[in-house]
Amino acid sequence: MKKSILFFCMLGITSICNAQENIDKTIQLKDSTVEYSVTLKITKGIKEVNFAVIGFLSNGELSFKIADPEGKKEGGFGLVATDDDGKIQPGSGRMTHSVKVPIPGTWTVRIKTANATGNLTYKINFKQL
Amino acid sequence: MKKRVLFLAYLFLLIGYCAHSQQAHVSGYLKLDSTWLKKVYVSRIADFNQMLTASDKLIVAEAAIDSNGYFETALPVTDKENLYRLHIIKKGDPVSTLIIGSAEENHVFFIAKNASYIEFKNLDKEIVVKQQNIKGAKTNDELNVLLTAIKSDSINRDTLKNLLITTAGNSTSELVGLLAVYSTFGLNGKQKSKIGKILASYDKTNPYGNKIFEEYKPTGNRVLVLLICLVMLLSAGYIGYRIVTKRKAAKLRSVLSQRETTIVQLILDGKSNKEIAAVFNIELSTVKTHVNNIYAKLRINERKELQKYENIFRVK
Repeated sequence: MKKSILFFCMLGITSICNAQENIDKTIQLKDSTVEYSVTLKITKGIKEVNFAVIGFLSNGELSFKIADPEGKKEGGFGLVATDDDGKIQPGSGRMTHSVKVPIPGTWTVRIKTANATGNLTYKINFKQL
Repeated sequence: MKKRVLFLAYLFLLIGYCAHSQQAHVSGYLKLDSTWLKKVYVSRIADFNQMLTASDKLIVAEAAIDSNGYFETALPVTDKENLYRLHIIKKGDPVSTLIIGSAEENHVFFIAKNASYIEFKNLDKEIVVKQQNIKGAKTNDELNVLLTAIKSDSINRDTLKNLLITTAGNSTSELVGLLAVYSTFGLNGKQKSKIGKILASYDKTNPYGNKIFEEYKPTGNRVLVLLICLVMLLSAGYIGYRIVTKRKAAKLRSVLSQRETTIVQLILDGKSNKEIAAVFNIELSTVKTHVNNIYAKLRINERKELQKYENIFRVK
C-alpha cells in the first residue's frame, strides 16, 4: 500500500515536472531575417491550448504558423509590409485560437522573417485536466 | 436597315467592351459599430498559402460603406475562378490587417470569375463578418461549407479527412477541390492514392494546384519499376531452382558408389550389361547385381528411366 502511494506520488511529481510551461514572448525585429521553430510537447493531460498572437510590421515579411503532430494547420498568419513609391504600407495581424483536447505529441510553431522591422508577441497557454 | 446596322454595331461594341474589361461585382451590407472603418477591401489570393497573409500588394479593390451599411465594388477578374478575400479594418489599423479568431474576425473568402455577382449580407450582431453570409453561385456555397468544416472544433479528425477527400472528388469547382486537398493532413497511403486518382481529372494548368499536382504526381516509371521487379523475381526463382537442382544431384550422386556411377554412365552411353562386364573384366552376374542395386537406390524399374538422370551422371 505504502509503495503504491509512493509510486503515484512520484508519477504525479514527474507529470508536473514534464508539463509544458506557458509561453509569453515578444520579439523586436529590426531588419531581421530569422527562421526558427518552437516545439510544444502536448501530453494527454492537456485539455486546451490557447494561442494569442499579435504582429506588426513596418517593413519586410513575417510568417507565423502552427501545426499539430499530424501536420494539420492549426492557425497562423503572414504579414508583408511594402514600400509603395516611398510610402510604407505596414501590415498587422491579431490571432486568437483555441484548441480543445489537442492531440498529444510535438506541436510546432514556425516563425520566419525576412528583412522584417516591427514586433511579434505570442502567448501560448496550456490548460491541464 | 440603318437601325439594324446601328444595333449590330452597338452589340458588337458592347461585346467587345465586356470581353476587354472582365469584371465581377461585389456588393453587400455590413452593420458595423463606430470602432470600424467604413470601408471594405478585396484582395486576390493567388496561392492558398496567402489566404491568411496581410499585404497591401494583394488588395485589388476597395469600397466605402455608406451610412446605411451598403457597399458595392467591381473587381478585375478573368474567365477562370480565382480566390478573393474581403476584409474590413478597425480605425487606426493598417489597411493590411487581419484579425483571426474571436467575434472580431474581419475577413471572409469568396470565389469569383468574369461576370460573377457576389453578395455579402451580415445580419449577425455577435460576429462582425461570417463566412456563411457570402453568396454568389454554387461554388461559394461549397467554399463556405468547406471553410466552416475546416475551422470547426466539433468535427472529428477522421470525419474531416473524409470530408476533405469527398469535397476534392465531388466539388463542382476545381478551386474548392484543390483547397480541400491543400487542407488535408496525416493521410494514409490509401487516402493519398484516392486523392491521386481524383486529381487525375483536374486541369493541371490550374495555378492553385501547382504544388499539389507536384506532390501527387503519378510516378511515370511505374511500368519500368514493375518490369524490374518481375525480372528480379524471375532471376531469384531461377537461382533458387538451380540451387535446389544442384543439391538434389549431389544427394543422388552420393547415394551411388563410384563403380555404380561409372556403370550408370556406361548405360547412358548405350552399353549393354555384357559390354560393361567386358569393360570392368567382371562377371555378367556381378554387373546385373550392380544394375539392380542402382535401380533400387534410384527407385526405378528399367534402363529407360535412367535417361532422366542423364544431366546428373553424364560425364561431360
